[in-house]
Amino acid sequence: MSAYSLEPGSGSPYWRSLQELADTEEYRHLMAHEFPGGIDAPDGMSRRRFLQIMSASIAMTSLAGCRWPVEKIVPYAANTPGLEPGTPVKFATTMEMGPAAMPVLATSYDGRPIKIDGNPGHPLSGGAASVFAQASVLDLYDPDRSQVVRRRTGVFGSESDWASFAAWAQTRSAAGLTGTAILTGATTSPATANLLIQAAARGARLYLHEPVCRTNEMRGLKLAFGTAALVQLDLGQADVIVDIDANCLQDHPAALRNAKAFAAGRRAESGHMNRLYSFESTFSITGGMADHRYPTAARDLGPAVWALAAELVLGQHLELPEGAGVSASQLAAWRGHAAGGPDIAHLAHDLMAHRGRSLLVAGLRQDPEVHALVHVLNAALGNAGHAVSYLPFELPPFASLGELVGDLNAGRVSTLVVLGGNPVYDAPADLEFGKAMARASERIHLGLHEDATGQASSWHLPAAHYLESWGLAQGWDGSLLAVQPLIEPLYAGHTAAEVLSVLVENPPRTAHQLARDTFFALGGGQGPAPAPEADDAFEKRWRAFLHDGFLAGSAQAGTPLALAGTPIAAPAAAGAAGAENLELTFLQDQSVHDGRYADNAWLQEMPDFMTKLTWDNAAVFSPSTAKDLGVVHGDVVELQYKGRSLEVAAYVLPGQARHSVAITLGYGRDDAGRVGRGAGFNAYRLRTSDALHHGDGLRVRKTGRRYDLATTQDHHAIDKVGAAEIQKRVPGLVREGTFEQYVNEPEFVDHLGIHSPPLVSLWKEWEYTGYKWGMAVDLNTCTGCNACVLACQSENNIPVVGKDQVSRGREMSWIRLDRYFLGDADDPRCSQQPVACVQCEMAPCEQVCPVAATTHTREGLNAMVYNRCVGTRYCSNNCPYKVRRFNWYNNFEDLTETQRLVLNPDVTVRARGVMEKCTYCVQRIETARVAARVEGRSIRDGDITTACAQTCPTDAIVFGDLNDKDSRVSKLRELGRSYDLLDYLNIKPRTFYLARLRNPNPAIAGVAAQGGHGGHGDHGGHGEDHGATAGKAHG
Amino acid sequence: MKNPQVSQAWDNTRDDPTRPVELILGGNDFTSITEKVSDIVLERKTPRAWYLAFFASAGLTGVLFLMIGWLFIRGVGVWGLNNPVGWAWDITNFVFWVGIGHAGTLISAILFLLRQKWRTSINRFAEAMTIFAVVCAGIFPGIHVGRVWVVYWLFPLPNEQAMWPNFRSPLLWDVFAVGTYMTVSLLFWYTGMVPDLATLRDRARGRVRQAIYGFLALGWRNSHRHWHRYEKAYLLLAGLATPLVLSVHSVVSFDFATSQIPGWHTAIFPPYFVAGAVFSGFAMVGTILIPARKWFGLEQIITKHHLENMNKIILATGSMVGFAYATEFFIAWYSGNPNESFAFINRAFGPYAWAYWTMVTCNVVTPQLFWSKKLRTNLGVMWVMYIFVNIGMWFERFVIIVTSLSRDFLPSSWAYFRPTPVDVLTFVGSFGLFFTLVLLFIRFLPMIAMAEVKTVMPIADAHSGERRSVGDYHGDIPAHVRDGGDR
Repeated sequence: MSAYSLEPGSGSPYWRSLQELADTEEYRHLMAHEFPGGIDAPDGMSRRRFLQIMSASIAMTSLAGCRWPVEKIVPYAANTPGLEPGTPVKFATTMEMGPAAMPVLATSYDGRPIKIDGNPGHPLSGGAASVFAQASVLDLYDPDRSQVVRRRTGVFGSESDWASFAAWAQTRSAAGLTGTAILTGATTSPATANLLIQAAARGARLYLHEPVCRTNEMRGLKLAFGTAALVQLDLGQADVIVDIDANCLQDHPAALRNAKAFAAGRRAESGHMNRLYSFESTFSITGGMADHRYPTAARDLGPAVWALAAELVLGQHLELPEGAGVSASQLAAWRGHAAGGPDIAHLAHDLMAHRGRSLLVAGLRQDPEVHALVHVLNAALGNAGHAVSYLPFELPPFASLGELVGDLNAGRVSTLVVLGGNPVYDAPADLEFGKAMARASERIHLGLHEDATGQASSWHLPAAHYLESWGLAQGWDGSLLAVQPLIEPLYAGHTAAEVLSVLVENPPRTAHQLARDTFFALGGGQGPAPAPEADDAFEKRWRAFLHDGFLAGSAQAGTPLALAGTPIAAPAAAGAAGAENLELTFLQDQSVHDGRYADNAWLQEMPDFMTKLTWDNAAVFSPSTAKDLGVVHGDVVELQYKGRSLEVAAYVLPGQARHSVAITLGYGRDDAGRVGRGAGFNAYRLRTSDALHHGDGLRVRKTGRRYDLATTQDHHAIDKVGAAEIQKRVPGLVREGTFEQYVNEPEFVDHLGIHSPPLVSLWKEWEYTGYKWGMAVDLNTCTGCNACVLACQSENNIPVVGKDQVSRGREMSWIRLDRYFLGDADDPRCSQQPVACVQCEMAPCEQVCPVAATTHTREGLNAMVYNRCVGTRYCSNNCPYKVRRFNWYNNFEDLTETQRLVLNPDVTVRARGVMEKCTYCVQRIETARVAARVEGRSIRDGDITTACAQTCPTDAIVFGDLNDKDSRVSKLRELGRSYDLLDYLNIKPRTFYLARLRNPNPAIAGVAAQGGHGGHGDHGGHGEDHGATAGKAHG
Repeated sequence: MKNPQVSQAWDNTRDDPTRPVELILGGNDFTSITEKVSDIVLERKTPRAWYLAFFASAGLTGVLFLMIGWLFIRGVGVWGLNNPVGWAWDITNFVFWVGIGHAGTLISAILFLLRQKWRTSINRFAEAMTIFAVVCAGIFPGIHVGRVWVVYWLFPLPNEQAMWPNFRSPLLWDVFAVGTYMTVSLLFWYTGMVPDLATLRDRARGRVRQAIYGFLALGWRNSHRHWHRYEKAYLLLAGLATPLVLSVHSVVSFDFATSQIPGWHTAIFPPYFVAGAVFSGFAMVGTILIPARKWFGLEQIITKHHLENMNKIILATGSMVGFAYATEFFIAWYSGNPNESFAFINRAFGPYAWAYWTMVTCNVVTPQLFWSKKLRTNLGVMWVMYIFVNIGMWFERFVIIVTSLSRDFLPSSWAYFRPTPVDVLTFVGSFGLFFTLVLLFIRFLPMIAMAEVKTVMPIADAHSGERRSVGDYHGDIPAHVRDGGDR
């Protein structure tokens, strides 16, 4: 069978293309006959049935013509050329998340996708993938996904199918779409956009709803430039960065690119380091990386920017450009405004000193005027065209959700089409969307889950997961991205474009046709795309497009834009903040985003970067505000806000702005599946359309009840003795210094931490003559984004244990991010440290295992022999890093057969009662070894990357051979700021750390004095050799 | 009564260096001793209290096995353990019970070699208790493992993979140390019991009892040759058992001392653990002995003098333990190791301060009351004190194990341990098992070493003119046999 063709001899594992064949009716019939009922039943499958489905999903690539076109079916008796069973194949595809289209590589194992990585060929990823992209593969196998088309007339619903819907929709739309409202989330698909425009032309009205929207940003751009645009940040060109609640390293459609560029500017060895200032109300990873962070309530952020502008213009005599929209005299009133903080003049001076090499960026929660002023300042500082540039575009003719509710209530909508999204749950509370929706006589909902909106609809259609879909998308840099399926839809789902096609086209096209046709049209073609045989040149382009995952050269370069000169209004004065007038901010959640990932167990169990909270959100209070209100961590409090109230657990987080209470969106979903149901508190119940992001007038009432918040760190409130010890101990664990210090004394880290006698060995130790695996973790570029945690979870089949077990301290993650706060609780410094098994050469765990279940390999891996382990847990007790994880129960017991499909077959699934831990991705080492042996060479640097290192957006983790003097990891080992964690124990860890450097503004007092020689406080032995130095010599 | 000047009311705790202390009161002779002890097993009606106590204990034993069953079905997660705290009540209970098992061998072996005659009244009881405590102790390491069905891999058994256990692991040393201790203690106990078993055989009525005791008595005929060999064997076993008294708990302490967790990694542990073990063992012997001597009318054999001697040992070992606590603190400061210092400050002032101060109060403060002769000879006071010591010594192990694990090197991993009901019921159930075994022992075996007690009575003295008139030295003939008929 020649249905598959791989690029011959390329050695490239990427899936390239399939031969084309028309969708045939008999094939579908055959499928239905062969697998009656489809493959929709996830639970309670017999083994036989499971095998059927497994073989089906292998064959799926060749079955059911509408996805992967095929010629004919053959029994799987003979091997398919180009498809080796057991050899993973990678496909480039794209995950859409609102306006962010993320180019990814999906790994498929015998026909089932098991892992998502970034697409290294595309600058928006550079090989890195966000936690959402990595976790998306689990959504594919979610047993609670909606599995059937459901038709509800009146109260009762019944199962239907796609064909019935299509027939119904075609009849209904034949006469035009007047009275039809189409509500869509943000999408970048050109095919979908075309169809929406066609629908509008036929009388439909279009509405856009994205709970976490960038509307303010677009309005600000319109205000400043008169046009919407995609703002391109190039952090690599900025020496001074001012982040105003933007969290540009994480909450930005190009966050991975931003993080990579930012990290490049932090590499002190280049002799240069950028400086980051952050103004924000709640700690974000960007705030955590900042050299100067100013906890500022959201309502003060606008005034802070105005104060900065005033200082720049009046204090530093920055000239405002033509069309600025503000004048120096308008700014005068803002000079010295308290919101700007004490250092605003120094900041302004720093920006002036780096004109053309600086950057200001405002976040999506800021008012349009703030965005506009930031654009003006960037232009005035000469940053436009360098660190910031713009891709202007026309905003599509979408109306807002508020207008839709108005139209629904006015009876102007007879048919409502909801393409994805869950507005019944996530619409602002004042709109009462659920009630309004009921006024449309037909309500069509397309979604991955039959959620609140799905249950309120008259037609619910299961959506295809992106790994099951054909499509196109546009990256934030304007490039054209490919969406291609890896597997036949498990539950016969369809894409938004297909639903639209049914509504506006006769006959409708499949997603595959739509993608091809649109790609053809974008390349200047007219009409439908030619058949594969007909146009060889087009077919080659199409295949290259699918192979790469993007159209080479389609990215656009940003340019500066001319300011429009529209006057920019100054922020309104806010009432006095206090316990009776608190501020409430609504943040997107780093686990469930806006609630769409509530059913993703990996994300639910992923600890929040700052709070370390799993399975819940909480109302975040600053320590001083909590004290004022008498609220302590874990109290249930009632938030009274704009006539609404919500009971929610309180979390006291250092670094939160005073009088500002933050809550993340997306939790408290009663309509979620078994994973997300009941997790957290629904902040949408307080959110109103007039204050989507933050508002004043919050009052907090204590209920006297308590709530168990499951965190992975600080499981319990720390007592005084412990808190004092942490402050003492952390400087030696997460070693830090300033850039200046590092330049003057490259070995400064050796003076930090505990001093010990010379670390010598009592006997001749094993010599590692072959490979000597090691890992470097650069704390200077690690942002703490959790990507490595998710990568490890996905790669190594790490089980999810649930809230109860996490609150008992039994989370299973092999790599964790240790987060410490130092200094003033209301304005602390934050330190992040990823910790996994450090593979000690003198491993304490190995000595104490009574059955020798954990032993050393000759390459220095501390290997865990699962089937020898009896589970005494002695190894874990004796591990000073506490990185070993014990299977307290059978953690895979409750997985359905469908969920098991996501497991990586290269990694053992651990049984109950055995210990596990990081293996340095030993399966990848062995794969590389086999490949090297086949080619008769040794393993080269870069052949092996661990899952965590592969996905790290800032390349903070580097893996390699320490015996190879030219390897990247060896070079990092030589750096002065490399150190071993707990070096004084003389256990010789293979993972070493590179100290974090801060680059404070020398003019600003306080921060520069912090860090540095913190460990010198209480050591006594001056005559001793420095243990730290001795430890390093072993590396 | 042959010796009227030594009455039951006589206070043998007086300090009078001019006369030897009477170890047996009440004018008992060999016959009365034999009758008093063997009648509990053979003649006296089992008291209703025994049945009540037995069913209560057996019920708790049932709870123990239910909990173990649940543990086996579900996994170790049914306990409250978490990631830093990989051992908690399981190993605490193990060390607690092993410690209790120390008094028996100490009394039988070390005091025997030191010719402490007063040991004879309590050694049988203490040895029995040792064995039952070690049985209870042995359960915990066996069930605490994750995959209990392969726990036999800890033993160096031949297998198809030619895999040895890891001889560097202190946990493996534990297996050998506790195993050896159990074996030797059992042998020692049994060997010492052979003459008494023969007495029971001779006095038993009913074929079944005669057969069973006869089988257990190994054909003891009270011949001089038997006595000669018996005394040799007993001395040898005492010599063998003596180092074990010191070694078992030393090895158990290696589980902690050889690891590198601050608070565990301490060279003082072996002597400190042994002292603590003797301390807790004597307290547990006393806890049971005080009610037992009363209920079974053994006050003349287990006299206040015996109890006072035990209390002196408790005072001595309790002070050693207190000294060890102080030394730990001193070294933590003196070593200059900040992790070590914190481990101890954290114990005393951290989240487990309540456990620490419970331990100090029960182990160090209250035993000092035994300096007062009035208090150490008051039955009520000493019984309360024994309970205190039992509580304190359990907490000592809990404090060492849990506080050290809960806060080690990296503060990110710190956590607090909370027991689950399964933890609690398993521990309570282990007491059920212990008392069940004790009650069975009281009911079916001679709880006082009759033959040995007789050797320390005044009439056993070769210079006593009365010796012959009373008859047989050991294994004397029951009255009804001697007098030719039923009494």
